[in-house]
Amino acid sequence: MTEASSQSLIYLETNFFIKAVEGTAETAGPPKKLLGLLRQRPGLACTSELTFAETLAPPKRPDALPLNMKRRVYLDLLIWSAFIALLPITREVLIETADLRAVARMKLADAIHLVSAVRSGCRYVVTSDSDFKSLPAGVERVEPDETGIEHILSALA
Amino acid sequence: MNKIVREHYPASKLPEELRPSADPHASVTITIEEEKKPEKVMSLEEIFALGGFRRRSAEEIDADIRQMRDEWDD
Repeated sequence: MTEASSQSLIYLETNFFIKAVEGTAETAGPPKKLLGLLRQRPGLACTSELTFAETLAPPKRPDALPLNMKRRVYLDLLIWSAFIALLPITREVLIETADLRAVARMKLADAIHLVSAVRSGCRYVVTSDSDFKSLPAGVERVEPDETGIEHILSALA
Repeated sequence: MNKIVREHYPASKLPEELRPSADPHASVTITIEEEKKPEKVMSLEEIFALGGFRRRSAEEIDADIRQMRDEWDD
């Protein structure tokens, strides 16, 4: 399994994974491309273990990916594929979310993702969530679309 | 799943990356669990080729996640 405490360059937020797995061809294309590269470079990207809870949330739409399949797919992708570093939600992370939310309007889940990314030393946060508007210096928000993913791929080239 | 728990274990005996502080006399509680990997792990290609459900647009996925996160804070 990928070292969770190592410094990663790219933080992948929940919506990145859901788009790759459950998105339409147009939506899934760019995230799939980045995952293909990351598979060759384990540890370059990370995500919080909160991503499990969010990706495995029971589907509300009757025609969505069934829960038993979601569990298999996301556990295989996030754990057993072993190229994404998983960051635990520690006491320190939760305390820092309180500090962050005192100065920025963020939902708790958003704050857990952002604190996890910053603590891990990530330069890029890949998310389409508009709540990630103002990020700390040195951290760049990147959309999981074609433009955003190409930007990261260029930086890694 | 095999699991080992040791209380009052000398932190100095742990690899450096697992020591919680620089205190050479610190003691810790360690829990070690063996990870059971499934016999067959789906490849990226298999995951991406899944069918039998309706794929969502970027807007739908963003809206669903936003709703879930709003529920947390309500």
